[in-house]
Amino acid sequence: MKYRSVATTRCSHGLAVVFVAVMILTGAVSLAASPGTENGEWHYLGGDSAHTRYSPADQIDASNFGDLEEAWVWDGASFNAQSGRSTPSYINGKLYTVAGPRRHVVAIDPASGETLWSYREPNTARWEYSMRQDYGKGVAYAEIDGRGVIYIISPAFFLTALDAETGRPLEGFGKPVPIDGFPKTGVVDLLADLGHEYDPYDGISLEKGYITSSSPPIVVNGVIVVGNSAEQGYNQSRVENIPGDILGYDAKTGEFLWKFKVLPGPGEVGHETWENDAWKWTGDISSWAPLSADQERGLVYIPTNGATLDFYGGFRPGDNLFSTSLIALDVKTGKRAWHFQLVHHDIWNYDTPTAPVLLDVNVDGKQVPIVVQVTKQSFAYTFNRETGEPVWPIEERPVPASKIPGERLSETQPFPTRPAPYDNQGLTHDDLIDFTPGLRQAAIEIVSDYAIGPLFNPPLHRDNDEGLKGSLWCPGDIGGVNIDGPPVADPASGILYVTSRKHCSTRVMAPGAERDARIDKPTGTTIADYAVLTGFGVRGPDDLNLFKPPYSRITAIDMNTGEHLWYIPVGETPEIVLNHPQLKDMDIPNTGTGTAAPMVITKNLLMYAADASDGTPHLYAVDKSSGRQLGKVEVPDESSYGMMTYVHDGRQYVILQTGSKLTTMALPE
Amino acid sequence: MKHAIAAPGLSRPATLVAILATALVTAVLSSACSPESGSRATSADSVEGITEGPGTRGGQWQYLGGDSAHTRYSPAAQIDASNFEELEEAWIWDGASFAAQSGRSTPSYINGKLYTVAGPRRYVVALDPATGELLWSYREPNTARWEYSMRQDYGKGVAYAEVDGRGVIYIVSPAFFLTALDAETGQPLEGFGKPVPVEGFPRTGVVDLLADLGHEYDAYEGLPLEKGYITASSPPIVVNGVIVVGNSAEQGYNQSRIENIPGDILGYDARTGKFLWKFNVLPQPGEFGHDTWENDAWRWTGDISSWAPLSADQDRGIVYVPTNGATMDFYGGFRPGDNLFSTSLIALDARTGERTWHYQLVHHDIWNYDTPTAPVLMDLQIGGETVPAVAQATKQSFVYAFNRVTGEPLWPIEERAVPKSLVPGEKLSETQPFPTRPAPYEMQGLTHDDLVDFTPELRQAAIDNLEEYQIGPLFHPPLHRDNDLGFKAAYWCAGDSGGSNIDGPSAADPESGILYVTSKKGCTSRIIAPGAERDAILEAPTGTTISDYAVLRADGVRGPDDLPLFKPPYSRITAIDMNTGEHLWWIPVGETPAQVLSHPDLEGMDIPDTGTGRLAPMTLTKTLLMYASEASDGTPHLFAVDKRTGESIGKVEVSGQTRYGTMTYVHDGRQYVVLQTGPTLTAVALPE
Repeated sequence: MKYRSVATTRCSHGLAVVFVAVMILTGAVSLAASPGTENGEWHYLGGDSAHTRYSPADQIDASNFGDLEEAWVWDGASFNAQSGRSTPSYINGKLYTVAGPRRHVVAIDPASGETLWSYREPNTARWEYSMRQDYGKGVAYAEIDGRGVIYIISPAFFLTALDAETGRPLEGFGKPVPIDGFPKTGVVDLLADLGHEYDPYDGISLEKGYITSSSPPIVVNGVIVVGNSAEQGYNQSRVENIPGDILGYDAKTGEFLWKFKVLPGPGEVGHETWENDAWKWTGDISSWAPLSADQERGLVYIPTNGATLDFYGGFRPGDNLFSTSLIALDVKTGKRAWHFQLVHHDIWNYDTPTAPVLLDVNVDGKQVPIVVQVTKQSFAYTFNRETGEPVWPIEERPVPASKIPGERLSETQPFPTRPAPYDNQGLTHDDLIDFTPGLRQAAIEIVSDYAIGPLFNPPLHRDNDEGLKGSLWCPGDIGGVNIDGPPVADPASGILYVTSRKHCSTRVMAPGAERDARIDKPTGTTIADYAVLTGFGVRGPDDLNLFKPPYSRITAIDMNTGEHLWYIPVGETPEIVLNHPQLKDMDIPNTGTGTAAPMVITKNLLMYAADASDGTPHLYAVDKSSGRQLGKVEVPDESSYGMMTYVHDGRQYVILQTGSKLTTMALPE
Repeated sequence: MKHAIAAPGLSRPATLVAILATALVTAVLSSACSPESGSRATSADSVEGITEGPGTRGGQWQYLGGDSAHTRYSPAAQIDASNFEELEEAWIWDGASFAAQSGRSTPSYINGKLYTVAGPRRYVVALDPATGELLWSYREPNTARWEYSMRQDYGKGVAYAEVDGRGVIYIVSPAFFLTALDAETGQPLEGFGKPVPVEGFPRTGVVDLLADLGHEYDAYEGLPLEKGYITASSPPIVVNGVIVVGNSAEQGYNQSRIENIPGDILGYDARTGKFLWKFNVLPQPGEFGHDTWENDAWRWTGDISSWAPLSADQDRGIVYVPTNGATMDFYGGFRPGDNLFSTSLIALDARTGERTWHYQLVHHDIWNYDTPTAPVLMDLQIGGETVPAVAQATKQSFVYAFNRVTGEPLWPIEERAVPKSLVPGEKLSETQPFPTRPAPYEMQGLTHDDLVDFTPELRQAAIDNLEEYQIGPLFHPPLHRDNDLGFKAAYWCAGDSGGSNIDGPSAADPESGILYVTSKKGCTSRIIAPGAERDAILEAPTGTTISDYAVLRADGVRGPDDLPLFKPPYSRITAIDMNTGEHLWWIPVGETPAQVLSHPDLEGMDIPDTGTGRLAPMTLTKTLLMYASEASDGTPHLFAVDKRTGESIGKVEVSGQTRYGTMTYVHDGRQYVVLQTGPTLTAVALPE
């Protein structure tokens, strides 16, 4: 392994600074911000509160990676675990995660995978309705008066604080919930602080909106910052909803501290971006991806979703702040430090899908504290995280207008000039498969039914004048970066590793009433003029991918310069491509599997999970500076979402989130 | 949009149903004189603030055996002969997150929640009875004494009491701690027990049972193995505010050394965990039964554990304790004498721990005739009088029946002469107790007439297979390897997995007084060799002094041509009217295995239903006897039979094979049957 000595020095220096800052805070308020990943810990779902998914653990390296073997498997069946959408935290000798649709909080023995304790929130109708049940992603943690506390937000939108040692609801936290079975202490009903009428058991009336959660909160300097999720915008047919306001609570008592309105009211910055009085009755703008935080500066970084609803916003003319934005809030006050709207008047479902990543880099000789946000649209938006200034210019450039009646799009959208996009943007025939002229022609014919165009090519309604089926826009809503492939970053080198895939979307846009009739329990009361009827995607010719390879990739971007260093395909060319009769005897390069790569990065290695050509799941290791593959080991199951690493009793483990299970790999003892 | 907060427990019409059901059942039972009915509440009230709960009334299933009489009977009547075959899977709970494997725990259903133990760690888990969803879990922190336990995954269930209006779940762990948990939250009970000086233990809620046995021990390591080992494979039972704690020893067939500690019975206050009493299962000098121990063996040997669940007469405050043999199985030359209270049924006063009466079922047991299931309490009509009875089913296929107050046998039990042992140093009792009634429910002893005789060739082959083995009547003793007779070993019947066993607890109908016993034909052979040979292959032997003889390994006799060695039925359910001691009927368990049905030697023959050869986990309700078994093709089924006649009512396919027990409960007006299907629990119910 080659290491630039400069980078290594900077690494240890950077960690030391953070650590000292933490110590100071501990002394001051007897309430410790979590230290992140030093000494083999993994406190936040993204490792540290910068969400780098980086660990300085170095027991597993290039020389022994191939020796990795299964250490234990934890089976979440008793909790009905399915999705694997939670990254465990390793804190003071225990693993913590959430499992299953109930979002049970579970503590696990890090050496054996044995369940230690579990906590279940009692049933409510507002839980039953949640469409984000099995997507809890992880837990938050803080130390209160020397005692470890685990925090989660439930699908029913309660905040719960548990003693990390026993799983017992925290004494002196929150207020009693007037529902059978709730503990006397330890729970905050978050609906109480949003300012809408609600019932503790049923929640907010569906006519008004729905709010849930698909990420843990984050604790910053004694304040629990709570994001939220809305119902999926592509499952909406009506225009009303509530905005996903951000909430702040005291980590020790659960006392409500502040609310930040993601949809500005009269007199607030951004209010003018809402025309047609839509601010009065529409909403979403939820922050369903995990939050990141700069503990030293007391800033929390919030990536937001679009406004209600996806693919049509004719009823909400204007840019719609703070939808599809990155917002920096002062955690003490909940006041906006700065914001940047990534997409104006988002109707592409370009919701910000992963936590922003914080790095300290050196740009043109200056130390810059940055935050970088990767997106579906394949831009890494980069800012000075203190000031909100783009590190490299972001230009407003003209984009196409919509042809859907009533839809008035922004005339321009922000285009970062650097780093370059890490995956396809827009679609031309040159992006289509061209292994053979025949395949290329078939692909051209396939896309001829659709309006194609550059980035921000808008959706097109079904009964359009062009006689097209619809629009095919790229990236689509599962292109670029998405939930299951959070980026990782090396704080020592300032390199960001982004996993992305090629995907375009088409949706049948029809009068809202058609969709409304198909929805069992629609949210809101007023049916939108247009809504998405069905989705999504266009098949390639002959069971092959529509696009040129790579189908999915990992891109290393030096955030000191904004330059791409290298990219590699994710995993190996699928057999369906390798053995395709039309491609016989052709020299097909590694195409990548087409799925995003759950990654973790350590002092020595970039590790990621993907499938080999024959479909067997593997863990891969690559050289961080060159992208060269260092090894692969077969693992028992396919990974979903993220992974993590920790060191317990001197042994380094890597946890793969293998659906209903957690699979742990380590070196032989 | 509805806006109704579900009021805790009261909003549901089912509560009313439950109340009505309770009233109805109480009415029925009061005429039938169940031990659970009548004045029970009065005596429970005598310990202020502590009640034992409802047994099986109102659709509850409070004890692992349903009620404290261990009848596995529920008055639930929603599932009956008319709708049995409509049963369908209601939910499955997968115990994988707790490493559950054995299925050896019957859940309790108490006040709207299910409670059970799961996996080697013996987690206590609470489940939602309507969905099977996990509500809470409790794990005891790790100890070396847990790691060594060979009874880890065999917790069998939980105990329950209400203390000052709060439900409390009690378990005994493999490491031999008693833990009390709030039934609502799973949190360790405040004000119970003493702090355990081992990292991770809760500050309250736990009693270290080793502290009260009177031996030197370490909180983490337990007893030194040189001295002995004690663990648990059943929950305790709460009787009038007293938690009675039984125990398990290491399996006697895995011993090579003669030292061990006796499995004394312990009594604790259900509210505080305060130690109340200890009953010495191995009588000390001056205590009753001390004279049954010669060679000073009382000083250093032990076991006599009570690993099967306990039963109790809550009205009378008596707990019934079935015991294991003494250290060790198959050889007792170092402990001459009858060895009280080994392989006995002991009745103790729960308040004082004093012996009310006892009966030794096997003197100087060297057959591994440990008492394998909880005794069953019934109120019978004998000679025009109501007799409070206790019936103990056993491996040796006797039902031993007593007046449970006086310990008088209901029907004479005669001491009859039995064979001597030829193993050097082994001095057996010259007689053993033989109940004259009820008749044995399964094969005892072995003659050639017990062997398979579908064809003369098969019979001859079976006789040939037995040639190397010494056979004989009941209590035929083990024979050592290098015997003068030239036999390989003795082959005795019932063997240690014959008759009744752990996985087939009896069920009983408190209304009719009928006992349902499931049993199988099984004989045993063991190679008995000098103890040093066995000792050399044990990794961590218990004790210090190697026994002259010990079992080296198990042996067995195969039937001819992959058929069972014996005549059918291979396993059965026997209905015994305990008012008269008469067998009413018997049926084979499940259906003839395909291996027998399609056997080439038996082609064209009319083979009767042989039964599967496995025991039948049973549950009894107001209208049905249900049991789990397999159809001929091996698919697991739940079967229903008429309680009076044994006639088949129906069968429904279920998703997994059932181990140990089954149970039934009524939740929100719906009756469920839970099958203990290995690592999962499978609940079936009528369609909603």
